[in-house]
Amino acid sequence: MTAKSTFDAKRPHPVVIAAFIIPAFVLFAVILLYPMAAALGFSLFEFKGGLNIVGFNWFQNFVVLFTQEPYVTQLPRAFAHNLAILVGTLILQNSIGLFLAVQLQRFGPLRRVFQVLYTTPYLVSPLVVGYLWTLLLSPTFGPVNAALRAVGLDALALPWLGDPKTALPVLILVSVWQWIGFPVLLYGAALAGQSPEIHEAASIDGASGWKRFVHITLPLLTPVIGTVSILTFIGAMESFTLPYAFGGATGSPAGATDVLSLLFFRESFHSGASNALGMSSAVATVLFLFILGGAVIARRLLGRYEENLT
Amino acid sequence: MTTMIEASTLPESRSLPTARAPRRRRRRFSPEAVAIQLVLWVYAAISIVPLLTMIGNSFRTHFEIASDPWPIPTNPTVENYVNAWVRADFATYALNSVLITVASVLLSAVVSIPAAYALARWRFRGRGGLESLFMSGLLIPFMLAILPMFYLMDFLGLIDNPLSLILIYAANGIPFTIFILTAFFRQLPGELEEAALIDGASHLAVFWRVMLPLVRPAIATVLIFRFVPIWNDFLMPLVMLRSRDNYTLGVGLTTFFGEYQTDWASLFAGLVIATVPLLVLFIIATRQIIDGLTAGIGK
Amino acid sequence: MNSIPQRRPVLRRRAVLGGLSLALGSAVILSGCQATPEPAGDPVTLTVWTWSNEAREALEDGVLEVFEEANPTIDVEVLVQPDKDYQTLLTTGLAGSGGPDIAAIRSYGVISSFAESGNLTPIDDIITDWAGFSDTALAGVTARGDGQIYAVPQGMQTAQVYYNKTIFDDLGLDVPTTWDEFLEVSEEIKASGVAPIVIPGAVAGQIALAGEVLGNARRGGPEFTQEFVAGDVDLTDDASVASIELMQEIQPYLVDNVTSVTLDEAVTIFATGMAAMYPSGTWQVSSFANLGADLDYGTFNVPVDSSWPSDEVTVAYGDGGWALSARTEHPDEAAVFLNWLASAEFAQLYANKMSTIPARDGVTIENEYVAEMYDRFLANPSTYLGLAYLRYGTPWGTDIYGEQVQKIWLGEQDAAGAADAIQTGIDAWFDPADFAN
Repeated sequence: MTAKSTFDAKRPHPVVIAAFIIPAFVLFAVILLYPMAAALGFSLFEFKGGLNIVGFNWFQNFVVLFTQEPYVTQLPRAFAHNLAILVGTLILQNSIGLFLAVQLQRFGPLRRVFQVLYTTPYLVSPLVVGYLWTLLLSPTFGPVNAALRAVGLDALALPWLGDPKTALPVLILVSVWQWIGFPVLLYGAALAGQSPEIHEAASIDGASGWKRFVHITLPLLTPVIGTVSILTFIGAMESFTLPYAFGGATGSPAGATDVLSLLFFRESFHSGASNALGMSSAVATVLFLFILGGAVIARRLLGRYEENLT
Repeated sequence: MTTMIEASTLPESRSLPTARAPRRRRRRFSPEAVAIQLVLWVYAAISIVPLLTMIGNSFRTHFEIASDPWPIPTNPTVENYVNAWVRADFATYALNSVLITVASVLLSAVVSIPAAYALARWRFRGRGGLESLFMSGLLIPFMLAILPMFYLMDFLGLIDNPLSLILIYAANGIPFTIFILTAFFRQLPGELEEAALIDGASHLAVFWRVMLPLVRPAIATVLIFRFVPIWNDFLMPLVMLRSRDNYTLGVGLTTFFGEYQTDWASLFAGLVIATVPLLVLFIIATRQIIDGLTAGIGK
Repeated sequence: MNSIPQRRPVLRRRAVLGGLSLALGSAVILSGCQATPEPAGDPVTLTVWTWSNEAREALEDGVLEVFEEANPTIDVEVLVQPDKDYQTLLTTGLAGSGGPDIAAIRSYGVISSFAESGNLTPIDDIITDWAGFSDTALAGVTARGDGQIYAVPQGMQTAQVYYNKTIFDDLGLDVPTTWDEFLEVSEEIKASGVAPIVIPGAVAGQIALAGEVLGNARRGGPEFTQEFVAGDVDLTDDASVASIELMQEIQPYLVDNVTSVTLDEAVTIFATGMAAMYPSGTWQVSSFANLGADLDYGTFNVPVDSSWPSDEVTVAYGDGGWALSARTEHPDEAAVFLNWLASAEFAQLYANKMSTIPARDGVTIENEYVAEMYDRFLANPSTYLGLAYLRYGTPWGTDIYGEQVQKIWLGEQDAAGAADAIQTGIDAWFDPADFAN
């Protein structure tokens, strides 16, 4: 069309650009962005029962959140747990996911079988996954501890979800286990997209497998690793269903699995508090700003790395 | 470790240098390869534990499940399936689920893929800001946006209309789809695009015939990962829909959650009914990944 | 996209969002829904929402039939919305179109909050006869803000101790009549190798309920509650601390790994005879029956020590009510239905289908377990303080109670510290003056 005459690969005619972007933008802005912005706006109001607005109260909800009990203890505690989930899932999901994806590349038709198997946990809703693992890990009835005892590992037959020391690690492991199909498939897709010629050339040049992995495969995967990591970050900060299924709204035992989304849930309409909407929106806004900050920084670092690559 | 990369770069359909095939076959039986095989199989076993637990328990009674969760049915019963089928109108729900899920995933993909391509490959003013704006859509607890979304749909007159769910799910999928696909489009070498343009292809043709096929595996992955949560969701349908005729499978499953006690036996049967279509879809979709992959490389 | 039949016409559009009308005009046309007037003579459909699948099954199992036969011009349709998200769904349902005409709402804090939102109509004057209802039941459906009644009470819950008769008989034990006997009985059961007591120690709300069964009388029963609501004492009072200490005192007799025991698991543990006693709510009668275990059990109230400030009490609380949406289009039919829900006829049918304790008099309970618990409730009721007064703001008193008792069991807290933490938590919002109505 018009862009043809310029031969500029990076700059087609503005009409073409608009045609590519506007449908997505309109749908996104009207159906998602507008309600989201409205929801965040709630945090600046005081409510009296449900959606009944008393008045604009500036940042009063945030002041309460940052200065009053129980928030001053619960907010940092929940935040710390989110960070632990983030670090745990980031490391495990990326390393295990990458390992599995790379290994699967060498399989022929079997690769598909493995991809399906690794992704099955994702097909079941997290609520049910949480319940199933509660059953499996139960110290009274659960087969996991029964198996451990059967092979003489009595010391490892712990009350997994009943002990504050093990509850959060178990939560992290189950969450990684559930989501592992995502990095496996996405890394698989990225590896498949890498041009074989580069590797063949390197192979002819005599580069060893490990060297080729570190110097060729890994750098080419970086954008996708970055994408998976940012999504993991967002998932970790917003994780709700699995903590809820494991520890209920209070992050049992003794708040050991309390996370920001549970705090949000306890503040929401579920609480019966008059100003539920104002306070829960304030919690959500804090969460939003934090994730936004983190994601923007991560994106920028990634962008810089990609610029260096090309 | 040497085998790792070599094999990783070679999709099975590609014609290999003949010298390589025997070498690879030999290595498959090295101790290292056997160990890796073992790890993959063990991990696969751990992966399917819940699905097996679910299927096994769907043939057991409530009491058996509660007192001995190891899912070996001693006296298998299909009563749970009968129960589940009778109590929740799965035939209607399944039809609604298919309609809503397929329509919203497709709508989301149709609008997001071109946008992701434009953001990834073209330079124009406001690109960075636009990309950040799209990304911010990933960052909000969905639960919070429910209220304003409800009012929006109420205003549009779409309450109790499946179209409301299709619009919401489609919009909600845009940030995720764009975020992942921009990464993949960016990865593609610029030479392909330039060569095609010089040959006189339009930008649209370059996108459609050259670049799109190359990211098909990523698109398939995104579709699957968008499909599943929509398929399983029950909250949005409950907010937006009113009549039981419009309910989805996810809503049907909530029938088994009591106030104090959940009917796990029927729930597991219902879950099997609701999850089987997902599994079938997924297997078909992974074949798509492979086909897409070979097609892409064949260019 | 509109191929699925539409049962309810879409009614109102929100003026708030008027600014968007231009951009979205086409979508509105797409939706193509037109309000169709009801043809005269057709029955009016009342939509009822509830969080409870059990309630829907009970209502549809011959209860609503009785009403619909007597009122052929009114159809009642029951929709269940999942428990966990019920309050959120109801907030949208009551404030927008296509919502319920009548909705079940949880008692105390939740109903007060909904009353404040202006989306409910007070029903003091709509119900013609309140005489049959007990004060405890009406307290649960009265809004704290304006003192008006906003719902017809659905029923009551009580919480008592379930015990396994087979285990007690095998060991030659009698139901304890003093606190010391309670501990002795526990000791003997423990010596026999069975866990004496099970509590769902993984669930904060369930810990709080069990704690109330054990501690309500130790704290001083209804008198303490009265003083607490008047602002004369708070939860750090000696009697309150002593009631929390009881949770520590019974710790040796609890099932192993109590902090990992879920509600489902506790029911199974008790029903399979792995534990001999279980302090919990009346609803468990249905749970035990549904589980299908072979179980011979009875109930008793926690026995008191002569040094305690109160005699034996039966812990009780209002278990939600039927409220009237301010947006209903059929206020007259809804009033007819609500009056029926307030009748002894309905209470008789519903309480027996649900196996729960009725909120009003004139009901004969058929289930022997429930009947026994009902008699005790009539004799000496004492309101569940945590539920009735500590759930009007966040954090809930019951949530902190559960978390603090978990800490006690894990060896990280003592009773005085726990009482302090609970009081500090509720101080964020609790003010006795709010309950002055």
